[in-house]
Amino acid sequence: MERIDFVCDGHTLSVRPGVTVAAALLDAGVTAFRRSVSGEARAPLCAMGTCFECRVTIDGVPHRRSCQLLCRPGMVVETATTVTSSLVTPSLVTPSLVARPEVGPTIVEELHADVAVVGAGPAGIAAATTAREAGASVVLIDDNLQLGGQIWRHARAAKRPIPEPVKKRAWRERFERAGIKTLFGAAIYDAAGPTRLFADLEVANDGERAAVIACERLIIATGATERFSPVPGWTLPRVVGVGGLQALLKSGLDLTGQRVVFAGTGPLLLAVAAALREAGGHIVAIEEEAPFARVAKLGASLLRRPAKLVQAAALAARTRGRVHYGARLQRVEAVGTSLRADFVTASGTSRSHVADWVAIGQGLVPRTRLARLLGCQLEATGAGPAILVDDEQRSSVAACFAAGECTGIAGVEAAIAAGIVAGLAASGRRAEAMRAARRARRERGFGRLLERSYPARQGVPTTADDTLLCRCEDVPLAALAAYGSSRHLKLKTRCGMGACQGRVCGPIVAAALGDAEDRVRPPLFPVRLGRMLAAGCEYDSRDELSRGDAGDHDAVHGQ
Amino acid sequence: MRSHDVIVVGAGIVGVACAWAFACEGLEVLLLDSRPPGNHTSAAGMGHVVVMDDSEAQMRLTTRGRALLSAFLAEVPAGLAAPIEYEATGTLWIAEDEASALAVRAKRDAYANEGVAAEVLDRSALRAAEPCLAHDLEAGLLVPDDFVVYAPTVVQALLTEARAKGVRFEAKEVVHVGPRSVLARDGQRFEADCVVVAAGESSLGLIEVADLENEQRAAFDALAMRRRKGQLIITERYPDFARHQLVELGYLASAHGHARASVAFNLQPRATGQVLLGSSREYDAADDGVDQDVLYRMVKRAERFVPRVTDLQVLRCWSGFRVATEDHLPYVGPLWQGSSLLLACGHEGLGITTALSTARLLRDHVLARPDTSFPIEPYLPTRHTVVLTRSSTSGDARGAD
Ligand SMILES: Cc1cc2nc3c(=O)[nH]c(=O)nc-3n(C[C@H](O)[C@H](O)[C@H](O)COP(=O)(O)OP(=O)(O)OC[C@H]3O[C@@H](n4cnc5c(N)ncnc54)[C@H](O)[C@@H]3O)c2cc1C
Ligand SMILES: Cc1cc2nc3c(=O)[nH]c(=O)nc-3n(C[C@H](O)[C@H](O)[C@H](O)COP(=O)(O)OP(=O)(O)OC[C@H]3O[C@@H](n4cnc5c(N)ncnc54)[C@H](O)[C@@H]3O)c2cc1C
Ligand code: FES
Repeated sequence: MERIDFVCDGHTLSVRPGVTVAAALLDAGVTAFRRSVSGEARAPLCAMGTCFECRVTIDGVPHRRSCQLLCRPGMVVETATTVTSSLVTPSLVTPSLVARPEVGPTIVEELHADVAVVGAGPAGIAAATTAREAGASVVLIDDNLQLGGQIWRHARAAKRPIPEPVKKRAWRERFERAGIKTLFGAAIYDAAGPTRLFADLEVANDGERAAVIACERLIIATGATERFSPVPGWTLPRVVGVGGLQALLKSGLDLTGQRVVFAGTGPLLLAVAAALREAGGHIVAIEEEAPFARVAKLGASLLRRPAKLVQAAALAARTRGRVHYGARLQRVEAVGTSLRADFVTASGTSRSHVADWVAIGQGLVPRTRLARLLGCQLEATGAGPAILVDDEQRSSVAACFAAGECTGIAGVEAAIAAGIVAGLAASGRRAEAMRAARRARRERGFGRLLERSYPARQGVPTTADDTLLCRCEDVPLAALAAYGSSRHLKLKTRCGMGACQGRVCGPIVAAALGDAEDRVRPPLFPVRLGRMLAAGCEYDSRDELSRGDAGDHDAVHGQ
Repeated sequence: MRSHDVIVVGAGIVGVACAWAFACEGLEVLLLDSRPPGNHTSAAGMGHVVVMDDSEAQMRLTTRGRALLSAFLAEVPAGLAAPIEYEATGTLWIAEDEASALAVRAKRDAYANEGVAAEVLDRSALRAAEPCLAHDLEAGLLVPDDFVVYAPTVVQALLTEARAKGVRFEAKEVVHVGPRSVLARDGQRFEADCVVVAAGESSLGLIEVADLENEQRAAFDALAMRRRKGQLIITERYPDFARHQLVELGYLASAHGHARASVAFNLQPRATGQVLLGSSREYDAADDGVDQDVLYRMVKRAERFVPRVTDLQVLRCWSGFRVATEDHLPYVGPLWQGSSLLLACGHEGLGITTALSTARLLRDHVLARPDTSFPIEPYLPTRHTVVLTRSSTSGDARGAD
C-alpha cells in the first residue's frame, strides 16, 4: 500500500495518502501543536479550519492550519513540542520567518459563471446541481479538498472504511453527471460584492494559487460551526469538538481502542458516538445536558416522521446504555496521559469519567461571516444569528441567495431542500422554486423542533473566572463581567482579535452579553499578503501609485 | 441642578486626557460619551507616538505630547484590567533614493533645533539596524524616543486615573452644547463653568449656532474639518520581523495624484509580535468599507521597502477617519475670545501623540496660567479669524499666515 513519508520535529512519520497533517500528528502522539500566547500547549479543537488551534510550521511557513492540509511526501512540520511550557514567552515559541524559502509568484486564475455556490455541503451540492440542470453555468467553491461539507465529509482516509451515505452517493453521482466546475481547497477570503469573489488556494496544497470568481448570482451555503461553552480544562489537548472528532476520524485519525467521553448537548453527540464505535473506539459515556423529559418529547414527535425515527432508533441502539441526561461538564483535568471529566447534575450530584479524549459541543452556530461581509441582513434564531432569506432563499442583498445551516440549524434534509430552491431561483426557475419551497418549509419545521429540544446556552458561563474565554488571545471569562458589549470587550482585552477572529469566542460572548458580534472585516480567512497582491493585480494597469505630497504629514509618514 | 466645573463631551483619547488633566488640578469634571470610552477613532489608529516637524507648532505639540505620555505611562498603576501594550520601537524614517536622503539631514537638523534626539543612518547602518529592509534604500533617520502604544488601553488607563481623581463618566448622547450647558438626547441638561467639546468628527456639529452672536458666528463659520479615511492591515504574530516603527520619508512624491487615495509605507511592530501596516489617506470617502484597490497599493508600496512583507499572513483589515483642519493643526481653546466653550478636536493623524499636550494647553488656559514656552495661540480656533483679534491682545494672527 502506498505510504507518504514526511518529517515532524525531526522524526519521520509514515501515513496513508489522504490523511491530514492534524490527524497524522495526533496519531503520532503530538499534543503541543502550538503554544498559546500565555504558553499553554494547544492541539486541534474544531478540525474544520475555524479555531486555528492546530497551527504548525510547514516547510518554514508558520501559522498553517494542519487540519486543512494533507500530508505530502517530504514535507517538514515543526510543532511547539520541543519548547518546555514553564519557560515560554510568546516570542520564544512563535515561529519566525527565518527559514522561509523563496516562493514563486502567485498564479491567479479568473473564473466566470452564471452562478457561484460557496460551500460544498448538502445545501451547496443540491443548489449547484439544480442550477446546472436548469441550464446555468455553475462554479462550486469549498475550502475542503473534496465534496461533502461537514456531515458528508469525504472519508477516504479513514482508518477503517466508512461507507458513503446512500443519500450523498445519489447526490454526488447526479452532481458529477451535471458537469460543474469545482474549486476545492479554496477559501473565499474577500468579495467585492456578491458577484466578485476572491479565493485563496493555499489549502489546495498546489503551490501559489489564487482565484477571482466573477458571477451573476451567488448562493451562500457555508453551513455551520460548533458552539462551545468554556469550562476549566477545555483548552487541553485531546479535548476536541464533537464534530471535530468526527472530522478527525474521517481524515485519518486512528481511534481504535481509544476511550472517549462525549459532553454537551445536541443530536451530534449520539451521531458521532455511533461513528466512533464503528471505528473501533470505546464510548465511555455520552453526557447529554438536556433533561431526559425534553429529549423524550422530541422522540415522541418523531413518531410522525418514520424516517427520522428509524435513524434515531438505530443511533440509540448503537450507543445504548452509555447515555446520561441532565448533567453538565464542570471541568476537564489531565491525569497522567488520560483526561478526567467531572460532571454535576441539576440536583447537585457529581460524577467523573476517565478517558483518552473528551468531545465537547453545544450544538451548531450558523456560519454567516461571508454573508455579513456582503451586508446581508441576519435574523435571530435559537442557534444564533442566521442569514435572513425569503421563500426563494433570497437574502436581503440583490443577487445573493443562501441555503442550508447558514440560514438556521435544521439538519441535512432541510439543507438539501433549501439548496434545491436556491438553485432553481438563482437560475431563474421561479415557479419551480416556489413549488420546491413548500418541501423546504416542512423540513425546516423539524429543525425548529430540534432547536427547542437542545437550546443553545445563554448567559455568562458559570465556571471559574480564570477559565479562558478567548483561546487565541488567552482572555479569561472574568473579562466578561467588566465590559458591557462584544466590541468594547474586544477593544479593551483583545478577546476575538486573534487568528480565529471570534469564530470560537464570538458566539459565547454574544450569548452572554446579549448583543451582536463585532462586524466582519476582510479577510474572511488569514491570507498571505503576497496572495492578496496577486489577486489585486487587475489594479496594476490603473493609475500609478499616487503617494503622499510633501507638505502633508500623515500621507508622508502615514498615520 | 448640580453644576460642574468642567463638562467634557467625548471620551476619546483627547476628551479623557482633558478630563484627567482638569481633575489633577482639583476641578470637578463630568465626562460624557454615547459610546464606551476610547471606542471610536481612538480605537482605529496605529498608536505611533511620534514627533513631527511639518511646522514649528506641530513640532512643539508632538514633542510635548510624547514627553507627557511617556511620563504618564511610566507611572501607570498596575492591576489594570488589560495591560498597556507599549513598545519602545523608536521611529526609523527611510529615504528611498538620494534625493530623499538629503531630506533626512534636513529633518535631523530640524529635530536638533527642538532638542529631539535623532541619528542619521547610511545605507549599511540602515541595514544593520533593520535587517528586513530592502538593500537598495539610501539612508535613514532614527528617532529613538518615539514609541508605539495601543490607544484603547491608554484611554482605559487615563480613565482609571481620572476616576480616581473624581471624574464622573456618564453614557450620554449629546445633541447640543452651549458655553455653559450641554443637552443630552434624553432631554437631560448639564451645566458647568466651562464646556470642552472633544467629540472628534462630530464636534462642530454639536455647537448650537442659533445662540451665537454675529462675531461669534463669524468665528464659528471660519472653522472647517474634513474626514480623511485611512486603511490598516494587521497580521499574525511574527515577533522578530521588524524592530522599529518604519516610515517612508516620501518628500519626492508627486503632489498631483488624481487618484482618490494616496498611500505611503508605514510598518509597525506591535508589542504582541504582530505587524501593523499602514497607511492610506483619502478625502471624502463614501463609507468606511475596506477598499481593495487601496489595500493593494498599500501592500505594493510596503513591498518596495520590505520585500518579505508579502510572506506575512493578514488577519484583519479595517479603516478609520482622521479629522483634519485646513492647516493640519488641531483646534484647541475657546471658540471665540473669552468664551467658556472650548474646542479640542481636529487632531488628524496625531491625536494619540498629542492628546496630553492638548490637555495641558487647555488646562493652562482655563486656569489662566499660560506657559510661555508652550503658547496656545497657534492652535486657537480663532487663529484664522482676524475680526476677533480686534479686541484681543493675544497673537491670534500666527495661524492665519
Ligand atoms: C463539525 C460539524 C459536524 C457535523 N456532523 C454532523 C453529523 O455527524 N450528523 C449530522 O446529522 N449533522 C452533522 N452536522 C450538521 C450538518 O452539517 C448539517 O446538517 C448539514 O451538513 C448542513 O449542510 P450545509 O450544506 O448547510 O453545510 P455544511 O455541510 O457545513 O457545508 C458548508 C461548506 O462550506 C464551506 N465554507 C464555509 N465558508 C467558506 C468560505 N468562506 N470559502 C469556502 N468554503 C467555505 C465549509 O468548509 C463546508 O465545506 C455537522 C455540522 C458540523 C459543523
Ligand atoms: C487610520 C488612522 C491611523 C492613525 N494613526 C495614528 C498614530 O499612529 N498616531 C497618532 O498619534 N494618531 C493616530 N491617529 C489619529 C488618532 O487616532 C486620532 O487623532 C485620535 O484618536 C482622536 O481622538 P479624539 O478623542 O479626538 O476622537 P475620538 O476617539 O473619535 O473620540 C471622540 C468621542 O466623542 C464621542 N462623541 C461623538 N459625538 C458624540 C455625541 N453627540 N455625544 C456624546 N459623545 C459623542 C465619540 O463617541 C468618541 O468616543 C490615526 C487615525 C486613523 C484614522
Ligand atoms: S483544528 Fe484546525 S482550525 Fe480548528
